[in-house]
Amino acid sequence: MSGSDALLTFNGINGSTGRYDVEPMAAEDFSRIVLGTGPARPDEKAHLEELERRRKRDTEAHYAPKEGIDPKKLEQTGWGVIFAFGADPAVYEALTPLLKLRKQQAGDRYREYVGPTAYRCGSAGSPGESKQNFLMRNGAGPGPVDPLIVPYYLLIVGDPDTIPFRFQYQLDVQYAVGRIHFDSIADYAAYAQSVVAAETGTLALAKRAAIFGVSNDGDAATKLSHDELAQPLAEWAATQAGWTVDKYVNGDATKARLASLLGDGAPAFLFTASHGMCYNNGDIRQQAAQGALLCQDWPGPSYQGAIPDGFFFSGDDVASDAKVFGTIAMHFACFGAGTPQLSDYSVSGAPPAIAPKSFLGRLPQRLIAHPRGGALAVIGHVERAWGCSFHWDRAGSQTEVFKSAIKRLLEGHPVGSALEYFNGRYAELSSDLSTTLEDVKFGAAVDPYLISGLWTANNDARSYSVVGDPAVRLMLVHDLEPVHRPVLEVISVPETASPSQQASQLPATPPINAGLVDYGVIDSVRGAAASLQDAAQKIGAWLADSFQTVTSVHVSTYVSDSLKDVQYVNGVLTGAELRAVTIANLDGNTVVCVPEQDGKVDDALWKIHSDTFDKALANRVELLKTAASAIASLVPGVKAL
Amino acid sequence: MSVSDSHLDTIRQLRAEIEGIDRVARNSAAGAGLGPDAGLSYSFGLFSSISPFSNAEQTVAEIVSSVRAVLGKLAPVATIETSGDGMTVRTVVQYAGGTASVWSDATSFELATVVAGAHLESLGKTYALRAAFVGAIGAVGGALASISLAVANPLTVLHALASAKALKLALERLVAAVEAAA
Repeated sequence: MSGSDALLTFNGINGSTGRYDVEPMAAEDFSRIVLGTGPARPDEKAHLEELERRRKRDTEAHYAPKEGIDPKKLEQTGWGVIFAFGADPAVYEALTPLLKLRKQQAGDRYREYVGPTAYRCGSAGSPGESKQNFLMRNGAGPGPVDPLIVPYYLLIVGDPDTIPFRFQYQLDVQYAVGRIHFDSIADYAAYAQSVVAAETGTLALAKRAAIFGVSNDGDAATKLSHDELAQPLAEWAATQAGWTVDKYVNGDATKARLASLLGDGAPAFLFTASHGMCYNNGDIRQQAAQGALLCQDWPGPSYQGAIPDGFFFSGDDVASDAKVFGTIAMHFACFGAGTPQLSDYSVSGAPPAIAPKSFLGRLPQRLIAHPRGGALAVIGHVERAWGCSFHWDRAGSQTEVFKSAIKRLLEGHPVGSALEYFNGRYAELSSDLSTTLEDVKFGAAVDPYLISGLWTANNDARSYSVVGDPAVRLMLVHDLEPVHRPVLEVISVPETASPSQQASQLPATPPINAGLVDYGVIDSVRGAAASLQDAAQKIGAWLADSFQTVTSVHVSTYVSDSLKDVQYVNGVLTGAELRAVTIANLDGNTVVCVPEQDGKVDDALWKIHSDTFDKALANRVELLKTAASAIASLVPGVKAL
Repeated sequence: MSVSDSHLDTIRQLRAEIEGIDRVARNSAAGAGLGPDAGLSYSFGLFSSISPFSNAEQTVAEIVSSVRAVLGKLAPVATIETSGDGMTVRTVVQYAGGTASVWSDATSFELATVVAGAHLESLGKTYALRAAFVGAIGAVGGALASISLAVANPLTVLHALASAKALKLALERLVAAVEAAA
């Protein structure tokens, strides 16, 4: 892929069609796309300025927060968690063991961004707040991280629809950022349990890494990633002191191999390079399989039709007894970490939607939330991944960013700190691209391939993201220790923790940040809310019962010579003669018993009876309508509780 | 039992009042999601100036107690008697579906017609009162659900507690109305 006449080949295979998600195109064509996509948001300029500052810092100093802070020590770097405003308190509770651990480790540099200090989500027509605004509200401006103000390690808790990927990218330039989001509370609890067990228990993984490089026949993209990324990394990793490396390359990177690798005991570090599965916007398989790893089983672009499940490894393929506890994985694949709702690549105007909403990849979610002990983090790519990240035009293979990041991981750096090399590259490329685009604006003739390369590399570099806590690290065996990977007990967590449970489990003393005041406030009325919900549900049940019992009308008319002798006991009148009965069921069945006198219908009694019946029937209809209306208005509220 | 128009008016008025409380609680919860900035500054102001949570649990306990009272006091059976010109008619209404009336065997057609009109009117009001109670109770349920949601949101918790207090007062009047109609 060199020279201006070369076709650019993109990573990502559309599972619906079996074709490339983005068809190969000439550099010149692609550069038109780039040139048509200028800075679109008001905060873009400020972001570029910050990227430039970051680039200067990285070329003139070293990777770290402000000078003198050791990124391997949480008591120096600090640690913070960012919730979306109005986040479900049950998520907070499920993460409590992890939060307690981090608070203990980070001390007075521990922060919780919840309540007033939480991330402010967007609403219809307006985006969520920018990284600049978020930091400003919390006392920090652009520049190196001062952990006394905002911690260096920041864990975002929330789906990317609520807290956008863009915010994460921006924050990640100076900070070390990770994100978790799960569909169930149990998964949050499982992840918290895994991290806590890994850092406080007996986990001691062997220094074993695996490099899984797919190269599908006739496919230029995976040939490139296999030859210029996976293979060089495998060779390089084998030279790292104390590490053994299993290579799954040269046709060995099959789905069965990967399943076996994870099932038998995943290596401490797993690197994969492959296509990531892509699906059309709204495809029923998109949520579950987008970003799944397309393995060697795919015969290549000659294969016709939809891609069967047997060709790729998705979250659904993570076995319930998989041994992934403590692993850190890195997937070079399109959508490996997640999918934004809107494409990062638009020719002009509004970016097209590529998914109904932004979401994290199912595979990393399953890996890190494994109930028997999950992977600690997965590094992956949001949106499409590009070959430019390891191959640079005439310079050829460029794997130093990968090697540097992986080296840090193998040496026990927290994953967020290890990823700083990608962030530094992003800062450099963004500044270069910005300058080049400015030149174009002022009439300079620029090689379209250069622009294409800068653009793709820029987007590629910024989109590497950590799924998981950015402060996790490989828990490796020390010299004389035995290797040990325990199997964790599956913990049971109610899907919606009851408010009373929440009240009893939330911290009694709010931590440092004023944001927790909100939790304290909710604590004091949470028991009250439970009682209100209980009362609402009782009324709902009462109404439903009323609804069911008024589905028939039964009118009886009696006569008696002496009313004082008439008694009503258990629904039956005694001391009176039954003369007329009408029973009407609302399903249409009706029974009528007409009074007679001297062989003729007793008109007088029949009229009285008929009028009574009409009244009773009208009442039943009215009651049904009222009860139905009340239930209908009540049910949505109760459901939302 | 004897149902007057004022009984009915009271219950209908209470229902409307409770539905208003429901709307306020529901709107405050919905509004909090629309504008976080506005909601937050509003919320800050309140949080910094008052401490409204001291008697929240007591208020809610009283609401729950009133709900139980309303449901418990609604008799399953009503008996209506109408007398006129020495004649008495009695109707026993089972709200679960049965209605039984007893008339004098010796009643003349003309007399029966006169008394029947009055009796049926009473019967109609009895039914209407029941429907009004059901409507009011349904509204209480809706308000409870809305308040529960609003209580769970830090931005709307104060609105929720204000709504809870208003609901408590309305429920006390509803209990009294049920007792008066018994």
